[in-house]
Amino acid sequence: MATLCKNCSHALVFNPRSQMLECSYCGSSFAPEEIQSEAKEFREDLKAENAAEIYNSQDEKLMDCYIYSCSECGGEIIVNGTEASTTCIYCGNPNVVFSRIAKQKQPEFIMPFRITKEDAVKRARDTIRKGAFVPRAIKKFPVDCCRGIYLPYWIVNGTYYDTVIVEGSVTEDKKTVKRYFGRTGHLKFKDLPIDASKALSDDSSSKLEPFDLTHLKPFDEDYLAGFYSNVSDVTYSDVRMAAQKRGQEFFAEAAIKDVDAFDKKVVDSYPSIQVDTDVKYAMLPAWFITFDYKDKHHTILVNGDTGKVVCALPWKKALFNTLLLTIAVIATVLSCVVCWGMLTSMFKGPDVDIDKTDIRILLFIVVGIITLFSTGVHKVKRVVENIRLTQDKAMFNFMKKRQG
Amino acid sequence: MVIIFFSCLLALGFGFGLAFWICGSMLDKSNNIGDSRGDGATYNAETTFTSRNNRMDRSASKEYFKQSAVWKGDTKGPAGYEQVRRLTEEERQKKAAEEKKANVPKGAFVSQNTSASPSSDKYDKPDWEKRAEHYY
Repeated sequence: MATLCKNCSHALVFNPRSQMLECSYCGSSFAPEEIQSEAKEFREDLKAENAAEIYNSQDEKLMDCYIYSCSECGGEIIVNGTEASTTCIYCGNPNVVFSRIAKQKQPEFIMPFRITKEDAVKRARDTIRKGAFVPRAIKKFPVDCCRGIYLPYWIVNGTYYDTVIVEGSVTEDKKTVKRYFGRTGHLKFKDLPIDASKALSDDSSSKLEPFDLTHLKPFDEDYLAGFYSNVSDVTYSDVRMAAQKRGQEFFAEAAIKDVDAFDKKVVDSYPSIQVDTDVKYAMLPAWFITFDYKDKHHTILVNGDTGKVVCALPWKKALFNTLLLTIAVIATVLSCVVCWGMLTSMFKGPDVDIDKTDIRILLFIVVGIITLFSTGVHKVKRVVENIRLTQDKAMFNFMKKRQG
Repeated sequence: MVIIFFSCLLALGFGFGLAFWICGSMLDKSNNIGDSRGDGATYNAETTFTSRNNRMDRSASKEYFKQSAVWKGDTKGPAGYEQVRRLTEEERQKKAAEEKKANVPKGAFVSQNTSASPSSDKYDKPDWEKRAEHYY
């Protein structure tokens, strides 16, 4: 199942830096397009055996596992229901499960890794090191595991239709009132990548975007050598739902932009979508780096094409709280003096006479305080939500529960 | 006394609001890495609004929503439970033929002249060309 070197028959591995298949034994290198696998027809006929049947077990963990034999050493290669390439735990050679990528299931395109494992770890470390609130232990994180995985994606075109009602505040007769704005229309999207793996959450995979689709190449299984990969396991309904969710975001963004008001938000929406059935199937690269911190697994994602790092990390709570209190105390003392001066000038003299300008200033201050507070809290909340994604057990298992 | 109370209240709100905003922004920048994804412009998603209605009250907006919201989703696509797959060559050809048929120009683009026959449209060479042919 491995692609072998023409000169010494050692297994070849794809090197992202040179974009060539390299032999670590004799040093030969070949372009993936040059390699013609002689035993490919035989490989496509290789049948996997169900692990549960072989071991005569009803263990749920084995139900979705299949066993192949390594072409190098004959050792057992256990893959789950959607894995298409893996590494032999006995001889360490890369193996591609050809029956998984044959005929209809074979992707049309592949975006080869351009970022090497070392680059990915370096980028992750460099990015994390810049964080002022990142604990020192995380800045020097020991890599538990780093795996390059080709993720399956459907690249879809389609048209999204919607009618939305946007609620916004406007000024009418010198009063601020709530008004509603209706927008009906459609948007056509092109080359939208939809994650085709159920095991990986869309929230995590979508953050790896954007991918530069000009780097796509016609699929060649030799690019998989040395990397892990999964095949698609989603239904049309899943793809439609995912595309509709993205379309809804794009449409809402455009509608809000089109409305002339403030404090705008979409309150009603009636989405529908038409996705072109002639979708493109592609494999896109990502590095998964894991480390443990305070007994919790953390997974950092690195886009294997652009090098974009995706993760959210726990913060130094003591430093954050101290800074928060310091700024709060200084700002309170300073603004107390300003507020006292302002209110004294407003309520000057024995008969209190407040004009409309004063009321507007006070209202403006109150609205400003609420906005500052809610924006700050929203940002902290978003960090907490993304930390949950980084610590997600499903994502950790997606990466970790692979052979090799 | 009242003025002092209110100025302290406003200052506390402003102080903590500002502190939350500054610290929240700093935390977001420091610990929330790569929290972005492709937007509409990335996927050439151009929005076209076919109808706009501004500054409505709630009841008018409900009426607008009732009238404008029309389901335009897929009706002839594959069943939702079916796994997504690439089309076979046969299906692609069939789809291309259907698209070609659907895209045949209609109305003003189609010639209404049914009297012209191929023979009458024959190119009639000018005399000088006919005379020149005589010499070759």
